[in-house]
Formats: sequence, structure tokens, C-alpha cells
Amino acid sequence: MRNIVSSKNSGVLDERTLVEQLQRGDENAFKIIVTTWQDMVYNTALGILQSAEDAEDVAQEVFVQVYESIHTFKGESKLSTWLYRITTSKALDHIRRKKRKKRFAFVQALFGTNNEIIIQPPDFHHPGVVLDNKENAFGFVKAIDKLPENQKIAFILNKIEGLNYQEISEIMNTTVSSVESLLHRAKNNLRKWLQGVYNNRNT
Amino acid sequence: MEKKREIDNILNSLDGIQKASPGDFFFTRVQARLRKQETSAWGSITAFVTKPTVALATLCIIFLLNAAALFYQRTFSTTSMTDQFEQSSTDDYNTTLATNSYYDENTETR
Repeated sequence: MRNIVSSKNSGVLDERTLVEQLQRGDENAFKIIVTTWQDMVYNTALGILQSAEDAEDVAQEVFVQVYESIHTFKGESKLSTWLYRITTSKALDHIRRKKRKKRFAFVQALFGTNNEIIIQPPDFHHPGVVLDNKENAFGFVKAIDKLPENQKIAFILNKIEGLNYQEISEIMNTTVSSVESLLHRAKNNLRKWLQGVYNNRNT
Repeated sequence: MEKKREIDNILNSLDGIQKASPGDFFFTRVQARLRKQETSAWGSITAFVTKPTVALATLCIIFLLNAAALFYQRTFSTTSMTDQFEQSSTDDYNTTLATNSYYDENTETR
């Protein structure tokens, strides 16, 4: 099945043609790919990283990788699936790198060799949340950040990106039943965490 | 009951969430990053080579290779010396035998 790409720059273009054009080094094809999928990539990265600067950084990295490794794309999956895969793995790498840096800075601070001040990131408010839900969503997004990696990815793809179980299983290279199980566990964990927060607030 | 309602409200707070956008001129920023990456390819290689850990690891490998070369050279020269000694002893023995037999033959004929 061929996927049709519609964008401001291209009119209507076949996804495979677009990939072939980029594989031949066509700059215009690259521009169409970026403008068509930039929101999807940025939004996914933002959901995982919960920081606008980091999401922008990762989204740029994703498209740089697309440009450099388009020849490895065989067309066995949809281009969007491939993009989601790159985005999630890059975002997780970014989190790990940040954690490593934080640990290193902490050790340096213990030995007094690092005079750099560690700046805590400001509280994250997702720009897409409906105004009435802002306060509740703030606590909820914080809770999502505490989920284990796999549960977090599955939950964000489902809840924020609105993907179905089949699409998530293709992105995560797993079965539909595994996705169901991941989402079930994620919801249970979130509920438990939110109950804890509620109990603390009312005691 | 109140608690359950509030938690459900929180769990549903992301319903109807809008997609966020990266801001204007995103493609230009991606292009700039690509160009920067292309020009800094040599820079990143130099940076990698001059990393203290990489430099130290390279030094360790060179030291180990030298140590291994020295060790093999020493064991090789010891074994070749032993071989030489054995060879010369065998040669001496053969010469003695040959001389003796010649001498013996001559005395018998007399």
C-alpha cells in the first residue's frame, strides 16, 4: 500500500517517491519530509522529555539522522513509523545522557572540583493542554515522567499521539498484547502514584 | 468517592490535547545543524582522539604491545640458543664417532 503525503510545498506526493528522491540527495524532498513530520516528531519528543528546548534539540537530531541514513530505509514500514522509532530512541538517549551528566556533576561537587551551579529545569506545562485541565495535567505529566521507559513510551504514543495498539506495536517492535499489557501497567502505576499524592495532600 | 473522582479527572486531563509545534523556521535550523555537522566532522575526530581516556587507552595498548614483543623476542632467542647448542653437540658427537670409526678401521687393517 502506498502512503500519500500532502504538504504545503509538494501538493500531493507518494511517500515512496519522496524517499527515493531523498536517497538521490534531493534537498526539496528533505524539506517536504521535515515540514510534513516536524510537528509529529517534536510533539513526541516533548511528551517524553518534558522540556521545549530538549524537544527542539532532539527533533533536529532526528531529521539530521533521517538525512544521513535515508539509504538504510527499506520501505518495509511506513516512514512515520520509522520516524517515531528514531524519535523515541533519541529522546531516551537524551534522558540517559542528562542523567549521566547530573551524576557526574554531583560527584564533582562532592570533591569540590565543579563550581558550576546546577540549574533545575522549570516546571513543565504542555502547551497543547486545554486551559481548564492545566492544573490537573501538570500533576499528571509529572507522574508520567516517573514511569519505566517502555510504559512511558507506550503511554505517550497512545495518550498524546493518539496512536492505536497496532501502530504502537510496530513502532516498539513488539506484539499488540505486549502493548496492551504495558498500557495496563502504566495506568495502574499512574493511579497508584496519584492516589499517594492525593492522600499526602489531604492529611 | 471524592478521591476517585479527582484521580479520574487527573487521568483524563490530557484528553483533547493539541499538538505542539517546534516554532517557525524549524527547517532552516535543521539545515544549519546539518551544515555544522558536516564541517565539524574532522573536528569531532580530533576531539575524539585527544580525549584523555582515548589517549590513555592508546598509550596502554602501545605499552602492552611492546611488552608482548619483548617477551616473545626473549623466549624466541632462548629457544634458538638451546637449539643451536643441541645442534652443535650432536655435530661434535657425530664427528667423534666418524673419527673413531676411521681410526678403528685403520688399526684393524694393520
